Amino acid sequence: MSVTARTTRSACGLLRSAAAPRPLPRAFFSTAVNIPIESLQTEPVRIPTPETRPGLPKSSNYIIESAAVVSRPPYLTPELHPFEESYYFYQQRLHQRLALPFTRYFYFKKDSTADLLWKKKQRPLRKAKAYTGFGPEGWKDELLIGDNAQHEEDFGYERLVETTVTKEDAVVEEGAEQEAKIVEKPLPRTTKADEENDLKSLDRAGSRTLYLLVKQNGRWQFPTSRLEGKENLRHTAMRTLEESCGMNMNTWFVGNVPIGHQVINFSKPKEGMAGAKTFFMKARIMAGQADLTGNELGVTDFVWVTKDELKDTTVRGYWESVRHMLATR
Amino acid sequence: MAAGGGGRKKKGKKQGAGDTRIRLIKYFLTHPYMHTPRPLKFGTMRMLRHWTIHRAWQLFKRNERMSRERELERQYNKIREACEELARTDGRLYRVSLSKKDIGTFPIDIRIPTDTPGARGWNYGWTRG
Repeated sequence: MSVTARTTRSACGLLRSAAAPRPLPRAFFSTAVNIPIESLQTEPVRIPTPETRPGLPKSSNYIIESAAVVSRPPYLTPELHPFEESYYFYQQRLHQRLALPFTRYFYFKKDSTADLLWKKKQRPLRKAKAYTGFGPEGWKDELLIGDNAQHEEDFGYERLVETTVTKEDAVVEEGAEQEAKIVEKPLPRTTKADEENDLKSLDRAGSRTLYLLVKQNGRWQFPTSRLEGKENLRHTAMRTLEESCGMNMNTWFVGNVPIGHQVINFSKPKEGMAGAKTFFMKARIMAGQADLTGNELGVTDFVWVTKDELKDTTVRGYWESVRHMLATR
Repeated sequence: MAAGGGGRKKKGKKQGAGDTRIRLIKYFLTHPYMHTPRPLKFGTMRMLRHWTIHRAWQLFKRNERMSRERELERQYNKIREACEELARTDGRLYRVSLSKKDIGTFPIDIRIPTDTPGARGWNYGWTRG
């Protein structure tokens, strides 16, 4: 890099920092989430207080609440888009065309047990005239219309068991049951809870994030309660969760920083309060389940819902204030 | 082709002599010409299809990346707005929420996403203590 380029850049930086605050560069949003708020600003933050700006209501005039946004992270990989599936298959076929063939007698001694087993396992492939990438038909690597070979419901389990010889197979020859035990069949991605649409189950919607909603004061929301004494937001959220859904949930509160907020202004001041401010604290659940027996916050029901279902469950104003802080997936 | 090299070949010995294993490795690792795949040669229409697929893939990935970045940006803005609101409301709470005290470490019992679910399913029976 030349000296001139460096000087120019630093000069530009000086000019920029002297100018009015500008929008943050896009690069921040993709990587630096943990950077404290102040360091992202070009100018020191001047927070308006009731003293500096008389128009603002005093802090004591608002009820401060904290809500626990407990989510179950997805335990399944995302669903493949049909285009992705087709693309990977296309690349796989191209790779087959370019790869060296399997050298049978290098790996198996001729007429040994393993060699015979391999030969037997290759039979269905030859019978079905499966694509190999070699020979005069090697150029026909593209799928024809109506051929749906790229989509395999069982992740290719049946095909692999039928055609692949493993070390264990060579050792244990007799009995299909034993073989089935060695290569365990993967479970389907949709569980029983998915079929029954059991909203209280945590085995549902494996590739999506599930959020815990409770029915509190007659409406669906995240478990919420007021700050008590010298508590901070995270402690209140932890206490709220324990008081509403029991203590048998293995949760992890992600940080001290709220991930969102909601301000409600009362039409008439209630008990000397102008409104309520709710701050949402993020948490992850790793084990356990909510239990409402003997809760102290008047919670009557709970559900585990995805973001889309959350939209239909909550009232519109609530949805508008929480929608952007929740992950789409 | 004698394995081991170095020494001069004895007159009477045939070419296949030497360690059989090494000879076999040499034979199978240098594949016969007929088995070596030819370089991909595409015709005009095939090349056009390939190019189209490639461009579509790039576009697909780009859209995916952009929507992910937008989402992160929205989440980040929500955090910032919440922090500003908190600072306006209560200075002590704001200071505490920006401090890194008592955050703890990332829990090791969080599951890594897999293609298919595990046999045991969710652990509902977990109890504290």
